[in-house]
Amino acid sequence: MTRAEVTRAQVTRPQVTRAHAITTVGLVHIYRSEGHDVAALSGVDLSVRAGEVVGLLGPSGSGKSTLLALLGGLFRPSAGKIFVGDRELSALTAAELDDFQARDTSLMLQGARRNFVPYLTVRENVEFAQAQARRLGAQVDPVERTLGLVGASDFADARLGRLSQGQAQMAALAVAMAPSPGVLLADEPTSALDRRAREVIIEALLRINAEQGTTVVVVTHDPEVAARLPRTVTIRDGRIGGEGRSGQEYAVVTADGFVPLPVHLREELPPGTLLRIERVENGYLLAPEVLGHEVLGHEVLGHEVLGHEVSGHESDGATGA
Amino acid sequence: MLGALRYRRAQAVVVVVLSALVTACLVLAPLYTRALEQSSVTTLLRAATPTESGIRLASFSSAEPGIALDPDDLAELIPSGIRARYGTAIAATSVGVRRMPLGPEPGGVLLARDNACAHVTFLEGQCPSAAGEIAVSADQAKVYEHAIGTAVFVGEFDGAVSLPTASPRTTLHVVGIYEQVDGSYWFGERLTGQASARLGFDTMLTPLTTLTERVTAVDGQLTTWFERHYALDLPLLTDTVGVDQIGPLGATVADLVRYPMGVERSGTHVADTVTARSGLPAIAEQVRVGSAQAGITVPLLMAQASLLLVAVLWLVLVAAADQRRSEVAVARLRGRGSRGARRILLAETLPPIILGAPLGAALAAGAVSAARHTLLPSQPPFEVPVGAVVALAAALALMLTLAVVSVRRVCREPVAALLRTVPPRRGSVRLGVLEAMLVAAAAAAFVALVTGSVGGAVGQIAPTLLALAVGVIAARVLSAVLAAGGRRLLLAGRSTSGAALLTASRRGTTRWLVPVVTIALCIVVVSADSLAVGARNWSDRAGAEVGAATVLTLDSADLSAVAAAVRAVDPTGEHVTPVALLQPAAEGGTTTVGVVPGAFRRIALWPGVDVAALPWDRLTAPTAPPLVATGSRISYHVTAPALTVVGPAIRPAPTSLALALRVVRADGSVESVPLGTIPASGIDADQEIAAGCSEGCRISGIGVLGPPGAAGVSGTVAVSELAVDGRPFDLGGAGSWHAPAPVDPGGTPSGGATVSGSFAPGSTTLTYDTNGADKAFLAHASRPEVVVALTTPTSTPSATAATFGGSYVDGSSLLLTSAGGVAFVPGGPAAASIVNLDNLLAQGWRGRGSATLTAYLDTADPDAIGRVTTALQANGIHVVATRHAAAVAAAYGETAAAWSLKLALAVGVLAILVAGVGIVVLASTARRARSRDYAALALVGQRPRSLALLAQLETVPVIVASALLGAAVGWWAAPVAVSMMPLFPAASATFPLDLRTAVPPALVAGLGGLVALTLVGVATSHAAARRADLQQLREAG
Repeated sequence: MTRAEVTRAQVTRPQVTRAHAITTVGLVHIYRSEGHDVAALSGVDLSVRAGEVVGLLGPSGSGKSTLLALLGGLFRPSAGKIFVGDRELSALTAAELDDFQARDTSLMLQGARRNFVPYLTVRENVEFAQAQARRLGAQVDPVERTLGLVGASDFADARLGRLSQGQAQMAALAVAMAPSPGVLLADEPTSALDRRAREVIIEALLRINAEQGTTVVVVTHDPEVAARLPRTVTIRDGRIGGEGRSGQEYAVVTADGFVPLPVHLREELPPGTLLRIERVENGYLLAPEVLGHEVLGHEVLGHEVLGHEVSGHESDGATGA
Repeated sequence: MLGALRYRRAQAVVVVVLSALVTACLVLAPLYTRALEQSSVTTLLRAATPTESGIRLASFSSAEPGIALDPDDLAELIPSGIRARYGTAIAATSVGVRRMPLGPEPGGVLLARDNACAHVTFLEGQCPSAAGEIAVSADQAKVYEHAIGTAVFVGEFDGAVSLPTASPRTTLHVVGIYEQVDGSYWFGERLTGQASARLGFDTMLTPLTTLTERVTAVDGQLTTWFERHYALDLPLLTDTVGVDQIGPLGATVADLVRYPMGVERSGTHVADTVTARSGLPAIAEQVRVGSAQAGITVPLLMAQASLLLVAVLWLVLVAAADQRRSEVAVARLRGRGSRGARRILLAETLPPIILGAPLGAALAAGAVSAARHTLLPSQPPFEVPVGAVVALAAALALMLTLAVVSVRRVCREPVAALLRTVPPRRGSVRLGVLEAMLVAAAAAAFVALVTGSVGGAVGQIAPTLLALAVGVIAARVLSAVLAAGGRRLLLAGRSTSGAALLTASRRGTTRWLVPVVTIALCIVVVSADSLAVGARNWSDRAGAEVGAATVLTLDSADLSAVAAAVRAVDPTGEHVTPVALLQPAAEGGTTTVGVVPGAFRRIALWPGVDVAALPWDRLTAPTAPPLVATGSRISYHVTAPALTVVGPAIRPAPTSLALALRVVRADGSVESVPLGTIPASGIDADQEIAAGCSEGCRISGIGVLGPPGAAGVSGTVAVSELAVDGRPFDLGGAGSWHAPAPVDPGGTPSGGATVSGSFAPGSTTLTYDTNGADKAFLAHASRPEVVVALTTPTSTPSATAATFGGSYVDGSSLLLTSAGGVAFVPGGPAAASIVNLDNLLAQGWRGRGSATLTAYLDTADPDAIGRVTTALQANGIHVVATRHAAAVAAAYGETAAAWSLKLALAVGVLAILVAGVGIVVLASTARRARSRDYAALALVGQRPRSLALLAQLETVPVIVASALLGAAVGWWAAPVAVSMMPLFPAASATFPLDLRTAVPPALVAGLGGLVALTLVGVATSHAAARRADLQQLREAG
């Protein structure tokens, strides 16, 4: 499915009944390691529309997988709130969270085989994954449909040990989609895959979104995968460091008014650099303070890039001010 | 579920096996105890003589013979509730008779016993069937010339017969000559043995009519036998008595023995005539004690094995749950929740456990069945007591609880934590709270057991508790030591060994490995030691109680004949020696044990006694040979001045004294033979008397006899020209006679009379002072005055005095003095004194009182025993019982206590197997992490050989150290445990238990366990190192 087809599919997608929007407000997650507190997320404000496909990007250790886990209800955040649909995850009891995980959201773990009950076939794993949702009375797709949706019908009855890496990843996706969740959270679904297999997985993800209307959040560090996603959010140092729309990168103003610099400007504008921000006609001017006779940065860059982008997408993406 | 089980097939099999073993251990205890109890009952009843197992009712009254109950009346006394347990009653009626005319003639017993002729062999003639017919023993026929057709005129002889003229009498006719056939029919009664020793007739068999028909009194009137003895023997039908029956039966029989006619009639005259005897109450008590011992020992032994098994099962279950962390995570991710995840895990672990339980029960049943056919004699019936069902339920409940608890932690962990690799624990000496509680509880229990606060057989678990405490602490200490050692080795540049030790210190498995191996080795060493100590004590006690490898009890009352016959068999006393055990006349006295010191020291068994240190040289024989006079007349010339009265004036002066000899006749009896009168005025004359020494008399003393109650006198008397049947007879020199003693050599206080002698060739002059006594003798040196003895600690208290009383064979008293102590006398009772047998041959060597004459052999070889038996028989001495120390030891090995203890062998083997499984389980738990570590090391260039070494160093030192620790704990604590184990059904009165550690078996068992577990460790490490390929690293990602 090409990007244009995906766009069309989004337009013609069926009525989504369980797709959920996701919103995080001031999300902080601190964990303890080797006797020290480590802040994995330091105030993430993110908004994902129901039925949207979003990629979470970022370097290793940036906190993207942590964010995904928080969205999946694996952790309770240290601070902040997570809304999935109309529910705040922190407020759910353990039983409600179990039901939520059974019915509304599905997390696809990194490493395909971690998503399986190892002694079951692909089909049995799918049945296993949707059993609780059925028990709760949720409307779930038949197993065959789920397998067909991700393209796993051909090896549905195979033992897991006989699957190729790509097949295993597709099977994992089928398992994740088994309860027909409103939200699919996929952690590195294409890691350790060759180009062709990667393409198959991406297509499957987009097809799921297109046909089921499922909200899809994908963690990836693969630029090629990111390029295929309509929206990406870059997590950097536990914060949202930027956002990409259709291949274009933007900085995101946080709830408390901070604007992280794009990575490529960080060397040019080291910590301690004084910046002057002014509103100009077409946007905003980012002007470094002149030290001696040298000028760090130039007005055109700030004016043209930041001013244009911010003014063009004020209401989208991050829950900025 | 099946898919899951198939997927982890090996793990499921391990759980099934462990579940089966845990169940088997717990179920086996009641099953085995029950089989053991049944076996104990059967063995004890089979080993018991008919007299012990059966009941003998007897009735006799010398005061009122007419009220004695006949067998029919006696049969009515048997409680109806127990009658079915006994076979056909055997009625017997007997009368004591003597050959007429009444007097010092041989006597015997006329016995009419139901169907007696079927239980003897007739050498000649036939079974007596008519009144007046008798069958006599072969010995009687020979010694008393009672051939077939002989008429024997007998009369009843008893103290109640006040008028000899009224004594019933009859003439009996010998119609048969019998030989007794051994068997249960006779209830242990020996019909023979009197005649061969010329002590009287043997039992004469006759029909009942002989004893019931009227016989003739001397006055010609018809009369009946006065004192009929009635008896009724009831043989126990042993097959009808099991462990459930013997207790109530024993109690009923005990009541019967105590009150044969019932409590309400117990004070009547008739009741006084009735006695009941049975050893069944004692047997029932032995069964009860054995059951009580087994009821504690067996469960405790199995509990130790179960403890180890449960620990390993727990490891397996925890490992299984840990291995399913990712599955739990998946389940939780799919909304199953903790409860759902638990169900998934339990669906995988519960079926093998549930499957293992019946398998374990079957295994226990099989093991008990095997024990019934091999270990336990008499193949007890297989029974399933309620306890076994309870144990099965308890085992199942315990294991199911373990399974539920084992998954609890994993299921409750946050999903995020489940998705992480579990980090290894850091080495620390500090104990966790649970571990500290465990150590404190185990240590407290150990201390309580060792100090006696909690005692008994429960103490068997003391070493295991100590090993548990030590193992848990050692796991921590060892981790720290390994870490320190590893760092030091790393600093020294020895990277492989250093890394190995460091890794070992960080592995979580070390925490479990150390206590498991420590407990296992402790159990192995203690099991081996207890078995060996048990076997040693069974053998030693048997040796001490039997006395020698073989002891033949002889049917002879003549010590002189026995000693001569044994000497003829083995002149040097190298392999056979005579031993006489002479019971004390009074209760509480010491048994005199006459031995040939050198031979007895060599042939008797002396477990635990330093025989060489005993003062054998003090057990001297009489210093002079016997002075034997043979002839019918003694003549001599006697010269004596007038007597001098030295006693108090209030007593009459004697008018004369009698010069006398004390002689020991050919049968050993002692007699004072007056030689002639010494008038108060003096004498100088030749005299001659009839001595009656045609068969030879030993002169054991010479002195004077005075009238009782007369004043004391002193004087001299010279005897010369002494001759026997005209032949000069020399009394010997001064050295042949004892020095004057203030007491009579016979042991009777002489009242201070003294006699001294002056001996010249052909003439002897006695100087005496009767000091008011009626006799004053100078003793010959061939007759001991005071015999030196070795005494046991429990010998009569008077043994500590200068002299105390012993016995000759005929029951006459013998003065003993202790020359030293001996822990026990082999084959003798607790209170015993060893004397030189030659002293017992000085006089009174024949009699059938309380003497038991035996021959001790240093071998159990049937041929050698046969040769000795045949040689003794040739001298008219029959062997009536043969005891082998080995057989008695084997019997001790067939008691409830022994059978319980023998389980220790199985427990020891099981402990090693379980520990081996534990090592494998722990290795497989850490396998993934280890293989990944090794793969990473391989990736950075470590060679396979280094990796293999590293893998071994990581495991083997921990196993070896733990094994050594466990063995050391077992070694140290084994005596504590063994001291609390019942080795015997009852304590010995003589044999002191030897609980010293059995070094070789304990060492071998410890080493065997160490080697076995080390090999398992080597194999598992090797397997882990072999998996160190890059695939492991890939799996991790």
